[in-house]
Amino acid sequence: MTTVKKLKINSDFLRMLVILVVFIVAATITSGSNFFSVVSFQTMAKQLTEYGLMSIALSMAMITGGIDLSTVYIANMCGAIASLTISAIAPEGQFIGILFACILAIAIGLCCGALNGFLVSVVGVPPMLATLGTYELFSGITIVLSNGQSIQVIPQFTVFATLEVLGIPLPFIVFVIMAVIFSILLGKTAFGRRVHLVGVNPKAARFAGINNEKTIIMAYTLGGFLCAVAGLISLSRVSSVKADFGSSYVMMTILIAVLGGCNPAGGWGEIPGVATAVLVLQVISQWLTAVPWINGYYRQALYGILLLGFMTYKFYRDKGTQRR
Amino acid sequence: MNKKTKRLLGRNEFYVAAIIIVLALIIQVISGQFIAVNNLVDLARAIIVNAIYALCGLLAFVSTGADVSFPMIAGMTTYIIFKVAEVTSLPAIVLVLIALAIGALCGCINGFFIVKYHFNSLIVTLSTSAICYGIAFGALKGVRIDVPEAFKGFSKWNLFTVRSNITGLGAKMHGAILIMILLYVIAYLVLRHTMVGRSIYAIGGDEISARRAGIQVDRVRFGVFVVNGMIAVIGGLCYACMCKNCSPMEYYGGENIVIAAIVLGGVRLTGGHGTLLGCLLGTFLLSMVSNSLTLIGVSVYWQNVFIGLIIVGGASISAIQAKRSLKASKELGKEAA
Amino acid sequence: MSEYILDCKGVCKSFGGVHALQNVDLRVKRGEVHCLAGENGCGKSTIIKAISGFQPQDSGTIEFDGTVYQQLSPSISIDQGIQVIYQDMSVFPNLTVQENLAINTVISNKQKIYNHRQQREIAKKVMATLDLDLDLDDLVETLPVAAKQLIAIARALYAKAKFLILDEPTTALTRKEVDRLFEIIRDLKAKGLSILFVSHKLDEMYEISDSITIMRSGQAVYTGPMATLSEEDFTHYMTGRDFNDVDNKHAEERIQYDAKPAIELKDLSGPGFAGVSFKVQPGEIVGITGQLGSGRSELCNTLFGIEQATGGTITCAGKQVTISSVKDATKNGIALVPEDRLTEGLFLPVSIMENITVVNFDKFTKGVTLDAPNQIAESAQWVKDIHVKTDDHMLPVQTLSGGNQQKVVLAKWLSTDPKILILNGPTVGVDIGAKYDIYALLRELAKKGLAVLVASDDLTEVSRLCDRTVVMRGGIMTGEIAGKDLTVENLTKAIM
Repeated sequence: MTTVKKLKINSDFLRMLVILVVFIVAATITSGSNFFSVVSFQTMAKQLTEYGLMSIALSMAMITGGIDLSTVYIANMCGAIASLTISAIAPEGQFIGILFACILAIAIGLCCGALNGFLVSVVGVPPMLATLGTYELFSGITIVLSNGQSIQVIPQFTVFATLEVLGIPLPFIVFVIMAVIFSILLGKTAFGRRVHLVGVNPKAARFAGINNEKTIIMAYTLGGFLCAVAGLISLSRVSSVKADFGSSYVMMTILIAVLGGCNPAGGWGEIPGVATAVLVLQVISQWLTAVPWINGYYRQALYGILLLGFMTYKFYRDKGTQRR
Repeated sequence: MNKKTKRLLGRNEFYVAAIIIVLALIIQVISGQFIAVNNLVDLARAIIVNAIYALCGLLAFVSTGADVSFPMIAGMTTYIIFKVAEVTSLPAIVLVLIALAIGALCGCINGFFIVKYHFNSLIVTLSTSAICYGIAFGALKGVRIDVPEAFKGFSKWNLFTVRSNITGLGAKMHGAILIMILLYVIAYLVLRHTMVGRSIYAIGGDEISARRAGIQVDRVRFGVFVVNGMIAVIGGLCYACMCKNCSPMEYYGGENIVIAAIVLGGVRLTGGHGTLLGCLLGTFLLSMVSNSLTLIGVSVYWQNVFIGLIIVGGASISAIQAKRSLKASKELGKEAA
Repeated sequence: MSEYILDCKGVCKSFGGVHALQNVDLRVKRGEVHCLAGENGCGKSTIIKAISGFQPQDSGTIEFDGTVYQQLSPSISIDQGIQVIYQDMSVFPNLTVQENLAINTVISNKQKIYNHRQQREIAKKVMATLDLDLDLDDLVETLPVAAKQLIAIARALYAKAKFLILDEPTTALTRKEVDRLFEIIRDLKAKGLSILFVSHKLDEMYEISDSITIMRSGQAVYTGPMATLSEEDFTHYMTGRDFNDVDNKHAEERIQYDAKPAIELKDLSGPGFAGVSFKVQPGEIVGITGQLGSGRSELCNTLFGIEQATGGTITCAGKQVTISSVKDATKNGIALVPEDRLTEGLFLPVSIMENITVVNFDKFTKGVTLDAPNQIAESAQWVKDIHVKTDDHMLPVQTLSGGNQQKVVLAKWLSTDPKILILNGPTVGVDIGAKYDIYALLRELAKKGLAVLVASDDLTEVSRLCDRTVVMRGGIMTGEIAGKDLTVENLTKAIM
């Protein structure tokens, strides 16, 4: 082999960045100057946080060689529990009560993630099946808690989603902070590299002294944390929660993770790429709203086509590099 | 222990059957209504559609991997056919053929990406599912519509009506159960007694060996997904006709319970393993649990919790068993040496 | 009728710009066992694929049984009676013995219907070809490797094989099973079958083959009768180099007899072995030898914390220790180069740098994040120190040859600064050249005071490399052999 085959660590990130810029430019041109207005930016920034956080959670699972189908339902369950707790102990919107409810919700999110991780690593259930089971379980618990209805949260709680810092909505700031933290965590720390290596070859990881069980449980637990935060933000934005709210996000998060460079077989994927893919999808989806004859349901179809198309593109690109 | 009994005890179907019997006894003791004829007929009626879907799941898992697209293929196609039937006056048989063609087409898309590019089947079928969803709701509005005239006859086709002496309640057995039985008989004959059927298992067992043995792996796989599309459509039409209306939303997410059922019945996610009997038993167990909650006085809201627990529990037990047998086979190897 | 059943002339095949086969001639006489030898990547498997029709050659002809073919296809090849027994046996683990035996026949008959009664008849006839006695209703996944291989061979014979290719058939067999296999091969030869035996184990080749073809980097460099080929010539043709192996082990200079033993086992038991006691001094190279299934691999894994010990004690440098995880083992200065490099030792698509530094992630962590420059510097140093041949250590480790990959595994563990280095099958799949490099490196390390434990079933390797060896049989330690007694002959007797 004469040509040097370098490891392209951040090529997915760069590619997504280029696509993002292209899309924004195209969107601005086609839908007029109001596309990139402050208002439109703010709506986008609020919406993307929820599935953005869940995409990061899913990406982590994918990097370990698994998948997490339960993200949305962890989020909904945490949202429901937070809402019920607030109604019970802080009906007037006392800060301390809300804080407690949020901490409780996050703690439960962590437990849910840990349960997923435990089932996958210690018990050895295939990730798809394990998270399918917990998905039914968590959505079931939410149904029981809410008697199958949607739960309204007190109006004081909805304030959080409307807060802005320098014109940037708070949820978006949360997303950026989380994206940065998890980029560093997965890209630059020993833990992050271990997550990748477990995904590449779990057996070799064991022989290299990596505690696979611990690493996988940690990855899913952190995923649970992100889902809980997503659940709280969505509760605040929509002001209510229902067991099957946002079930179409499952498809979206998988699309984002793959677009962002995660390999469904495990081992590859970087959070910056995933975070940029979140932005790309939001721009696309916003762009579609601007087109009057396309209703929201078409989006699903488009995502499906996009996912197949992108994987095909990647297939041919990888084939090209292999032949070299 | 006798080798035959040992084999029987090693099978998933045996355990599922045992659990069904124990649960049935418990429900009977608590409610006194389980073996009432109307309950049994209701139960049989409840498994029809999922048992048909279970065939899709079985074929996909044994040969390749997950297929999660069948409910949305079914929902979209049924909806399209009902719409077509409303505006035209085509006979039912033509409509069914069109429906099967649409299902086969969706299956072709799945098969193409899975066979040609070797993509993860879960992700491919998830995409197809999303595309079908988009078409059903985006292009076609996806509201609830009634069964069109052409299917009214089938929709009202009841084989018999029973009335229980215990509960005084009646139940009707829908004719769709014959379709289910027919499909299972065909599936049995194909899987057990044709080369294609055995190839499906052989591919799932070891793809490379199958290629070397001269099996047309790609063709068989592609065929499996095309057939899956058609089976899904049959299931979808049965469902709509039994409900007497069609709303694509009701199909959404239906894959989970089916996958859960067949995994309980012994289908392995890693391929090569799974039986028709297991599929039926698994489907029966889950339907029994969700149907019987009200009988024993538990709110229907608990349904998902129980199903979730059964999936997690069942999957955990078989995962632990697999680990143990791996260890045992290691020890066995040593003895032989 | 020609004397040769197979006569490949000037076979060439290239992938991209790489010449995998250059003008290869391979001739096999009727009714002989012909050995095909060569190091990894020499083109052995490429020529087999050309003969079996799975990957036709670019140019050259293959004459089989009197007919000249420009290119073969799988179906022609099978119809003509060429059968390949692959290393992985090509069986279906999820199907019954009966189906595994009969499936090929049914497929080649182009039957659409699968008749179980007829199939049973076929399966019984297939079993009769080798006088097998297996339960037809057992699932193949429950059978030992040797039985799977016999199924594959029986299946091939029933398909009217005239020419049988065995691709490294003895890799996963115990000595007893190898003997049974060789008996079968001799039997088949007597019946007039021709056999191409692909191997890398020299002693086996002498035992079974009539003649040999040696390949090196895509060319056939030697063809001739097996009996007249000396061991030195063999090495020469395999590698293209001559080696003067250091027979003088300098044991006396290395071993620190007066120091505390680096590791001492007393009556250690674990999964698959029991009652093992021995000690290793710093600077000593000790072998653990025994056949497949003798418990040597399990012993290595237990010392490294992959498996749990069930009884007995381990003492490291005078201190009794418990090892229940890899972390414990590393803490006590134990390192293990595992048996299967590809699945246990390396992350193939990951960079050489990361493969070397993975065990020291904690050491490289500065604050929260990894100190990348430091990591890269250390890796570069190791690559230089133990001569890993690569342009850039940021390349994936899968770009390296087997020997260099093994050096990366070694570097990884040496970087933890171990006191006891355990190597399980250190030169399996490693070219002869790299093998001697690794031997020299191990002696060098021992000289610096490292205690080295080598688990291997390659008796030549054990006798050359080790100062002393522990012999295991059926999970039990049966004795030690040291000094002048450490010869291949004595070892062969001891492990049987």
